[in-house]
Amino acid sequence: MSGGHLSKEFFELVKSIGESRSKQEEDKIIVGEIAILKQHLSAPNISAKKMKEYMIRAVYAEMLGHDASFAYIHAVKLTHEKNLFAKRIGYLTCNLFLHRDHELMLLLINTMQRDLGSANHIEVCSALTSVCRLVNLEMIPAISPLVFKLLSHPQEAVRKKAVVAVHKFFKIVPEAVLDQKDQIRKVLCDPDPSVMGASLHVLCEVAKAHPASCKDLVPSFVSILKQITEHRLPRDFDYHRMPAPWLQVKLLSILSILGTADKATSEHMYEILQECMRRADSGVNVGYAIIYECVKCITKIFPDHGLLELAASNISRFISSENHNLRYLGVTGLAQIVQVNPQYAAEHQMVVVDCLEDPDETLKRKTLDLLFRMTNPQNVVVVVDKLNFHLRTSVDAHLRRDLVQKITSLAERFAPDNEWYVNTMNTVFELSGELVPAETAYNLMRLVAEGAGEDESADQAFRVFAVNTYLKLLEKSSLSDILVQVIAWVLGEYARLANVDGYTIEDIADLLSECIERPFEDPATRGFLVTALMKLIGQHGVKSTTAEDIIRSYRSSRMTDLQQRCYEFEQLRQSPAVMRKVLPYDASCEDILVNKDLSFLDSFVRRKLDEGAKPYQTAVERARVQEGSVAPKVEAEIKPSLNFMPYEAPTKPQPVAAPVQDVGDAGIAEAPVPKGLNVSGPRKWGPSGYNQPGARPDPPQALHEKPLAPEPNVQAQAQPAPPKVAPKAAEPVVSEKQKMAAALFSGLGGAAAPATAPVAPAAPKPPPARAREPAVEKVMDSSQTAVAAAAAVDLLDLDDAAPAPAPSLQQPKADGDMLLLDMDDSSPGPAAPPQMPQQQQPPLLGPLQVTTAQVAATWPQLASERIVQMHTSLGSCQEMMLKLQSAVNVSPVEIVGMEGIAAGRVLPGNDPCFLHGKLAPPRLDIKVRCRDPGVAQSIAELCQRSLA
Amino acid sequence: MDRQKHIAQTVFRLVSTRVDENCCCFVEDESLFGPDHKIIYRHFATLYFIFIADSAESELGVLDLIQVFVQVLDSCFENVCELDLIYHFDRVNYILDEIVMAGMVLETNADLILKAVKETKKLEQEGSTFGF
Repeated sequence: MSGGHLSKEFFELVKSIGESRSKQEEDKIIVGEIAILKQHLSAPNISAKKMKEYMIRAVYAEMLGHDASFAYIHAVKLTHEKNLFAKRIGYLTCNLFLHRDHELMLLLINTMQRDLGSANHIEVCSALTSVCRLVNLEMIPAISPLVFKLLSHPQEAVRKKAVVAVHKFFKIVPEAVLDQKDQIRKVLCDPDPSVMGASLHVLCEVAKAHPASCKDLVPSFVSILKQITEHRLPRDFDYHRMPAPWLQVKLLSILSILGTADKATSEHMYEILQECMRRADSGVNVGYAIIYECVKCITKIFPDHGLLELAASNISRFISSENHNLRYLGVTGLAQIVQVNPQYAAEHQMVVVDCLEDPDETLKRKTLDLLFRMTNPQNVVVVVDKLNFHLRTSVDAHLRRDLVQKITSLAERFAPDNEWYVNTMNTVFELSGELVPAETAYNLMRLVAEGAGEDESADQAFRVFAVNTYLKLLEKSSLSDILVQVIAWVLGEYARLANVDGYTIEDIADLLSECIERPFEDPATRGFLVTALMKLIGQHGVKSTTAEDIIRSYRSSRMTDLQQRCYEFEQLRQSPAVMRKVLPYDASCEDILVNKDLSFLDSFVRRKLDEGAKPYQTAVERARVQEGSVAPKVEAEIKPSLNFMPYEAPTKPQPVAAPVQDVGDAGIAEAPVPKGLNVSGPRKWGPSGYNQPGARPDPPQALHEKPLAPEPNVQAQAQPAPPKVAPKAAEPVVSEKQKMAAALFSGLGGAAAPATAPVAPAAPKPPPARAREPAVEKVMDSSQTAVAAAAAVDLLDLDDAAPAPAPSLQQPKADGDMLLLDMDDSSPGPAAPPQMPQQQQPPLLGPLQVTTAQVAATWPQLASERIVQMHTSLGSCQEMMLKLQSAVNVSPVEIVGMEGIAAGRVLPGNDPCFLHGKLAPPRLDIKVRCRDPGVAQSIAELCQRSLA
Repeated sequence: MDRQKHIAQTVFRLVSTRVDENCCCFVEDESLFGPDHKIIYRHFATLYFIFIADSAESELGVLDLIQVFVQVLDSCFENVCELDLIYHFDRVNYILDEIVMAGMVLETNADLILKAVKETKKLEQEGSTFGF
């Protein structure tokens, strides 16, 4: 076809645009074109054909990025035409020009309504297409009855489009559609396969939102899928000899939603999945699409050993394929399989390493994701190294943020030792400090302060290491803010431990003072440095000449926090004895006695009252009396010279005046009486008051708050480093790449044996040669993994807990107990027999993997609620979650601050049971929600018993 | 409008810099569409056919859908070429409307799509002779 029937103007336009050499030239042409169009459109009586061309030219102008809103009204007018040709153009251009909240939509509703009821099915179809594109909340009541009626239209094309329109309604207001559920189910049985296929979209959405309501349809879906795979559909639905592949894909994705964590439902699917995969395997692209969908489904539904094997073998073909698309699917699919059972990754080590060096950015990212998911204590060092390398080279902000999060999480979960952890975190801080959340830095500081808590001398050695490392780092000229903050804190606390290159405390103080002059992004950083300097001078009586300069120059800083610190510093310097007391050495973990009653002030208050002072007013009263900054005045009433503002809270300065109760230890408070010295020293209380340990204004305080509850991962690091499965022992033939592969994959699959070390240190140690065996074998030939695995199984006799590296990689392993429970949803290793949960009593609940959104959606539907309130020894939410996992056998869903959500399913069956815990140590509130009141009661009692 | 321009530019930049021989047909760009969405494209001579899909769609499935789309175009225009698409993008849009509706794959049977398109064309022509 040529442009012969087109007007000369349009032809010229397209030609000149095609020939234009720059964007400017193109813009000029379009601006001219718009002027011409405006002129044409204002003329009366334009023929339909001409009108169509003008409209299309207007769309063309919009496509090239220019505004053609002058044509919108004409497009709407065209839809009113009786002439079908004009009407269709009208609808098409409206679809392209307008959006659902456009003001001209009002003019369109009437036409749409009329056309939906038209006898001409082409008109109905056009209107339906437009409805899908443009329908909005207000229109649904007017339009939806008409559309539902169309579901039984004699023309299949109309029924098909009506179903999709219903899908669109569901996206906007689910309730409108759920009322008509029966009608939608009827469409599933439509004799026309296309209409049936369209109905799958709606049902898929409904299944996602309310899985329970669709469970009964599973047999129908399975039988439809069976009929399709058996070529029962008309031949013209075949594509590349594959029967209706898109329908198969859609059906599979619905099945995967409905089978999630539901054993009974999943069992219906096993057979058809196997059959479907077998038949799809014909070597065409779309067949692979079906296989991949099957794999996705298999990893999501209740695991079946045989199917997982099948999925893994198919994925291994994808991943080693030459075709890039298939490799992409292979890597993505493997990441999903690894979540169910990490062992399957071991076979593909070499390919995964190849993918990491692939020039394709997409593939690389997916591979990094895969690596993250298969990390374990053995390969963490190598994997984190890889991730760091990409962090160093990548510029994409999203990728970097993702990488930082991955590295931090891996380092906290699997760090082989504290030194490595500190070095890794330093690298991350250096490379992209701005992306690291503050909590990460606090965790690190806490580790330095508390140590691992097992061996004091080891902790001390670790502190020395940290101090020396940071001292050296400080000499670098450009450091990220967060790193400087960490350095300042560590040096401030432990500078005396430094023993490199003859650094004295004075040198360190000088270094810190120099550092203050550097440019910083976060204003709090300078505060950290000033405080560090203050601590050094307080503890060691260092004579720093620069301190005075610093005080002088930052006393007038615009940052009130920094100003405050400088003034405090100045005051404290005048009485070294107080300073030493206020800033004790290595006391960040110690509790400070606080006299909350402030009885030592009683006499003073009484005297003042006698003298006629106003009585104390609470913050609320004060706020009522006077607006604005009342803090200094109120304090003045009680003790004019007392300064209550502590030096912390750089990150969350709170405008509330410090309540009087905040004065601390009587001893300290009495000391400064003569001069009214600053009492702010000990870091125990902040503006938010001592009674609110939830706030964490300053790292040292954060350390106080959970003295008894080091995070489980911190503990885990303390355990002896597992024996390295170093590829050293392999033959010299082993190439660099293979070495890397071996390192990356150590601990997976066959190498399960060494994993016993961190999990159960008491287990008899396997002979070293034997422990290394599996890894070596894998290096030489991946096909021998089976042998390696057998060897591993051999070793497993020693310790039952070893074979299942916890399948849910999200949680740090805490103890053997938990591991046993986890085995129930991990699938057994190649040589091991299928395993059942090893528990004497049948557990009430099984783990259930859901998202927070799903919990929120299902929560109100569960009728029974029990609330348990108790006193607990748990200090952190992570701890609480671990405890819930091990004692109640539920899976964690999310932790938000001091609240956690966990989900389980009531055994036997699939009824959800959700737990919501709110921790405010020592108080713990747990809400249990499930359908059956009896179960809720027993779970509540179980929680009470196990979490107290 | 600005967002439309931005998306068009970014996607083009992303896709056109990829070499066909050693890249897969999938790109992700979180800053543009958020997570969970990917760009799936196919390159035919001077034309790129680009679809943006969320994770509910099968990647390879969409690739084949592009293939179906191009097949239909081809038989509709008898050896489709770039200029056909520019001059008749109303018809291209109608065809696309038959295949994808409200973001959902509606029809994948090439014959049925062709039939629907031809039928409407016939009716349209009848209609226009009546009207004018």
